[in-house]
Amino acid sequence: MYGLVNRAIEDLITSTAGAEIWDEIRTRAGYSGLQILDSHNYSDQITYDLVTAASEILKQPADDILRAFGRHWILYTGREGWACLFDFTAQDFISFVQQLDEMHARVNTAMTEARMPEFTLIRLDQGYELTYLSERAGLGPMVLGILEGLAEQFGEHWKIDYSDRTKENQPVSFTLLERDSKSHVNNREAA
Amino acid sequence: MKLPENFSLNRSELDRLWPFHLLINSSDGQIVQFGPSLQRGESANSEPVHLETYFEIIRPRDTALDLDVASKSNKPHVLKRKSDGLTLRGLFFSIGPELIAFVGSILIASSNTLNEYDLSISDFAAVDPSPDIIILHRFREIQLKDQQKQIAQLKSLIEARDRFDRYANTDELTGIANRRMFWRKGSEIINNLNKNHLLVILLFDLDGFKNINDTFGHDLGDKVLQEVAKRCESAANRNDLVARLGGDEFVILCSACDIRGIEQLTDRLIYELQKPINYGDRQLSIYASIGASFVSKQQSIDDAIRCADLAMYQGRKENNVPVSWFTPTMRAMQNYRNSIQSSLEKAIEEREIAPYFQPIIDLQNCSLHGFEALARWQHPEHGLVYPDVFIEVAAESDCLHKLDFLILESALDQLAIWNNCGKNYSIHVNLSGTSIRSGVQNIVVDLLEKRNLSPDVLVLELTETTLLNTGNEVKQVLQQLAEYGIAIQLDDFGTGYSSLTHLHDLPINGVKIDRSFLFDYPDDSRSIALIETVMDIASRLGLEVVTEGIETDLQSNWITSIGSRFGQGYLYGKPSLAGTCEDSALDWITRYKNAA
Repeated sequence: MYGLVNRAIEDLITSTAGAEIWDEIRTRAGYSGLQILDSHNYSDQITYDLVTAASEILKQPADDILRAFGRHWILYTGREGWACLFDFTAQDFISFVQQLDEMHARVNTAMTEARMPEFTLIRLDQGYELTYLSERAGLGPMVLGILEGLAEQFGEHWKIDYSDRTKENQPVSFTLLERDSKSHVNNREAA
Repeated sequence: MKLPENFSLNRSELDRLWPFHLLINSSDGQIVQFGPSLQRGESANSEPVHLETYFEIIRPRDTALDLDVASKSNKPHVLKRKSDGLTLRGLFFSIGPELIAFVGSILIASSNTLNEYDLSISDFAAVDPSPDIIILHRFREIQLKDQQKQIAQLKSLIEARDRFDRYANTDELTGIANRRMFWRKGSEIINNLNKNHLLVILLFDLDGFKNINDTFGHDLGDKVLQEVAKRCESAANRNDLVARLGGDEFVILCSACDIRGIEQLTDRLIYELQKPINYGDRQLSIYASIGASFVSKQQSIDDAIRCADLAMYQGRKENNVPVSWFTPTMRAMQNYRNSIQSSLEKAIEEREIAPYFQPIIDLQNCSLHGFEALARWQHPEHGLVYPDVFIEVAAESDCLHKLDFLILESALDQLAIWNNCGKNYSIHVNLSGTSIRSGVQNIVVDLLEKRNLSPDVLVLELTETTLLNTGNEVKQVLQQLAEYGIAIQLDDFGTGYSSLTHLHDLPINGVKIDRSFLFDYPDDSRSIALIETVMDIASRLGLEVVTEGIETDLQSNWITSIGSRFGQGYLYGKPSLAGTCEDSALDWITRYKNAA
């Protein structure tokens, strides 16, 4: 994964638990001397090791940390100058989810080594089913956090459930159910 | 480019495909229509505005917009909106007899371009790749930021390395190279030594530097070291390596084409070091013995320093030699000393060192008064070793007191044997300064009592150097020994310091006139005068006098005639083992009496 992901984890930990805890986590994971750069592609194992170490030191399940990270990812990338990407991808939650593959394709033009997941959105009688397929295992909670963060970003209220399968290349399904149809408004417009 | 006759675009198609388009009246250059993404902020009812009033033509740069030309040109044009700098890139083409269209999209200059002009994705045509450029821009910005981060980290690493390098290789006090640097750089210099060059190591420390620190304080001591470092640098050539190895020890590794160059450098160094150091309104003189050694390419820096150190050591012993050059003999001597040092303690424990006895004659009664016990070492490898070698080593090894007591005990053992045979000799034993410590009086008394010896048979000989800076503790010990009845004599009298003060302050019973005063008898009138003066002082103070170094009857007769009570020297007998030590003395006495 690109360093941007690991730096977002760092940002989450330092903003919630403090810089000393982050140093402890980095040391526990075995990367105390590693300088992480946003634009460099690193082994996925680094990210997994950091999350495992964070889970041990913060005494939180790894899934909870991944979910929190997913929510933080939206805030962090927006703050780090990627808000423009959100802006031109879509102006509401569902449109954005629909455009995720498109957005990832665009991102791939710059981050050529990134291995992007695939998303398929199917409309159901009530709500939607989103299928997430990735080479990487165990990141379902992170996608859940990302979806929650996105909904929040667009000022919408969605009930999001998922059934995780932890194996690689196995799809993970999310059900998306809008809680309040009136809030289906772009946050920029609302602002 | 003119579209085919059957090609037409309605407004909505134009809006969808090129939301950033412009329609311009070809006859007067007025903008008659803005594309929807440019329309924001423009009033629908506003007056038409001329293209060149509204936009600046950035490309092509050389000509103003020629609508006729433009309508035929395939060249992309870049237009910059004068009001806010929004920049468009696209083509002009004719879409009818009166209309020219400009179609293109916004020029993405940075990832912030959309925010800057309050644009969103909906402002772009679905087929417009411009938004992708934003991502590339953003990524490029991140890469640049990362590069800056790496540069900053590299810079801080370099700075840290330089700081460490300075700290690790420079002597903090003087700013010259330290020991570590000297080892590293010195090894390099030796490795790269050109066969046409001479390489010399000069090593010195400052004589009496400890006294400067003790007397004037460490601040001044530090200033002296700084000044010496400066002077070394001043004396050395530009490429020479000057270092402080620690304490007051300095070293220079210097090269020259010939011996003259080396001599010039040593002369400069001696000159620099001899200049007094000013501080406040005072001047301090410093003295240094410089050890020098030529360095060969095969030598290690350690060995080079060892050679210079040996030379320095030798120079200090010889005194008044500003530069002492290393010779292979010094190394042999050092090896010999090392060998002595390594076996000395064992030799003391196993009593390889034993007393030899040299007779002392009572000159006034012409009888054998007693003996001086002198340490001799029968070394298993080196044969008989004399005290001038091992006493110095014993002092450096901190085992001189053990040696003193070994000789004292052995001498008293022998005295007890003589005593049991009815021979009432006295025994003179040397004690070094390190042995005269509180409690030693009890040990000496105990040794005498165990052997049923009377205290008055023992004479302890102390050198004047031993008594230098005598403290109360030494005075008390000597006082108690004297009170017990043990005699104390000053050895080598006349060669040390402040003899008269000692005679006055300490319980001294007698003096031994140093053998050096008799070397040139009867030719040296000054020595004769000195001996006579000592005799006179001793007589006035009631002190016994033993004259050492008597080798001829002439000397013996003269010494006897001027009142020396006792005499000692080769004339009466060399130091020898207990079994034979009486023989020569008794022979002389017999011979003397017969002659009389």
